[in-house]
Amino acid sequence: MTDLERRPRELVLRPLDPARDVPSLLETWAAVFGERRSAGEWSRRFLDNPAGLRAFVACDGDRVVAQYAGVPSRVWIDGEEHRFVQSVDSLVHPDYRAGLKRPGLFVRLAREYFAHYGGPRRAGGGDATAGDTIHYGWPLEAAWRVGKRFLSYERVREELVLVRELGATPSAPATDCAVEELRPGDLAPGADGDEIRWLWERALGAWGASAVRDAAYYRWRCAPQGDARYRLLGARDAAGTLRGLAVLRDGERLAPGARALVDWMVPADDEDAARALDAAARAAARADGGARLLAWLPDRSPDFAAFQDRGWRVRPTPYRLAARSFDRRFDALFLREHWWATLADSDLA
Amino acid sequence: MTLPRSSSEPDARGDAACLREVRADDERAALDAFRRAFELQAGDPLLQPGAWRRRYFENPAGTRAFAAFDRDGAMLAQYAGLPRGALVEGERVTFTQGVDSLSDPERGRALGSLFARVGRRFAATYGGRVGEGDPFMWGYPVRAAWRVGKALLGYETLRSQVALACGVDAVDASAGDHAVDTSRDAAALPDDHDAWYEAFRARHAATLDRDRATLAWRYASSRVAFGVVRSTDAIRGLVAGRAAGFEGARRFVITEWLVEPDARGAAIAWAARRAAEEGARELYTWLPPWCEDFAALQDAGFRARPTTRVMVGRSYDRRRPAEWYADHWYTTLGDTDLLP
Repeated sequence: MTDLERRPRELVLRPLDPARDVPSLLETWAAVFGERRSAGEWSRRFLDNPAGLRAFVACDGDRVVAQYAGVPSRVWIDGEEHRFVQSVDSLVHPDYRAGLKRPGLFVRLAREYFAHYGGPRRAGGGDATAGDTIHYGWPLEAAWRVGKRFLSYERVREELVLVRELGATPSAPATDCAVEELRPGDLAPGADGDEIRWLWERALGAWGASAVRDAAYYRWRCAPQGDARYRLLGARDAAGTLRGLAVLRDGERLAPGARALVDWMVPADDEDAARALDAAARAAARADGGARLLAWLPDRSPDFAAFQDRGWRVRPTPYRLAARSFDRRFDALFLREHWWATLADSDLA
Repeated sequence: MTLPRSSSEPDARGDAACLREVRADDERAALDAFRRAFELQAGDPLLQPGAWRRRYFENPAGTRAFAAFDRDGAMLAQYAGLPRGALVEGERVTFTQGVDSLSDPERGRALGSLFARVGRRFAATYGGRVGEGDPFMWGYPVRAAWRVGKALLGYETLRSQVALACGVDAVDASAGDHAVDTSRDAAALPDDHDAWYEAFRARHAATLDRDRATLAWRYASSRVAFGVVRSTDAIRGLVAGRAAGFEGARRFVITEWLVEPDARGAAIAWAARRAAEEGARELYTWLPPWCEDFAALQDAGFRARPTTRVMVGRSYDRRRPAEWYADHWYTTLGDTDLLP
């Protein structure tokens, strides 16, 4: 009996157990990607996520030989909390890829993963372990073909990027807002409540679906990860009210000379806050050595037009947003028309 | 797959329904079905004398229509398309835009399975690998048709369509030393148009035919004006459009945008003049986001705007998956039937 004939029968497919699987998972990670990820980095990315953990593994004895994983977020739709999960970090150890059986281990594992985590939203929406409404991602070509054929992936849209060429350092526009830098680690609800959550509720407006953006979310999402450092810029008025928030990632990202505007949260009618944050973000990106600033905003949001009015231009990208819905009400057209998604909802920046 | 082009199958009432290709003598049954399914008013362009026949049976690329009829000859369900000749990486093929799919509204719910069978027969009859059928079918369906197309015909979402729009007063373009001749009749386009377009289209991997005969069929009875841009007697571009209510506003809709880089200013300036003459305050067009003109028009004052439409498609040739067409097919609004 060859190794390839023996292995599939003995593999166990199950949810990842953080207490025992992580060292082996990271060994396989290194074998697949040729670089090491520390247990601390893995923990910050997956275990610290306030929305929960999504990871399924294939084990050969005690050895993790494949993973299908995701990063969940709490998404608010019409007064209900749902979970959307971005598929990330899927891998199969090279020794377990080959084989005559189709579909292969990747697809078998993904099917188990979706069967376990996907499904109708659980009552109350508070179940952090299953009942996910949407799984989504920006798969590369090979994963897209497999996902479309075997895993019911569906294209939502091809992403467009807003690009702002950075010329001379912009002077601060005359607005009634001042921009300050917020430290992700310090974000916490104050004595009067969570001002970031309040801002998100104002900015969400009529937009139908959005990941809950509060202090806990940004504390986790903007914590340093690997070489990634994030800068949170807050626009505050003279009364001290937080009127807008922008997140930048330091360092080149997505294109030569580009810096990423990872997130943008400004109520659509607050032009002063938008202009103040736009100028501050450009200045920060330029100070970081960037030649241009990039942002992803849904084309159906008011911000898509407002950014162009402020000098941003629209360009194509090679990325396609793919999704699998587990609730017929929220299909690809719904996501296209109603989901507020930015680079913060991805692992691309 | 080879299927007979006509067969009898039971409908929801158990009556025999005849499934077959639509024929030219089905006009009355088809228009009766259109009136019921689409609630067409008397003035609808499709109900004008000769319009149905022209749409289905005078298309130089042929006819693509399959329907179910009851024993009295009433059309119960239809799947149809508008084929256009296309050039894909040097191969002459046919693309078909799905249009006019319907099921009888009074018997529609019960006819679900019959409608699905008509759809499958349509796909099996006309779709196919290059040389055997149409390798690519596509459309911009409304939401209800999007669900049906996905479920029954295997359509995939290819593009969330965006538009380019520019206020006439915000146009930043000039004609330079180019001249633009205006024509209201595609058949009257200059003799060198066909040769020029064959050369122009070579820059793109996939394009639809736009010879004079094809454009004459496409724009028959249309109020579109054509602007032929010339420099030192050579054609440098073709632009076409008309004012219309489209996507929620009255605007000058540019349906053809086939323009060399040096002729962009002249083409935009011509469109702005036409828009002003026709009482429209905005220029509006659809282009693939990956094409050079998508950026160039933004430099000239256009801005990207969302639309209500999603492009869907299905490939019948494994050499090119459906998304290949989204990334390589240079298509304009004139390729669709959305603006007659």
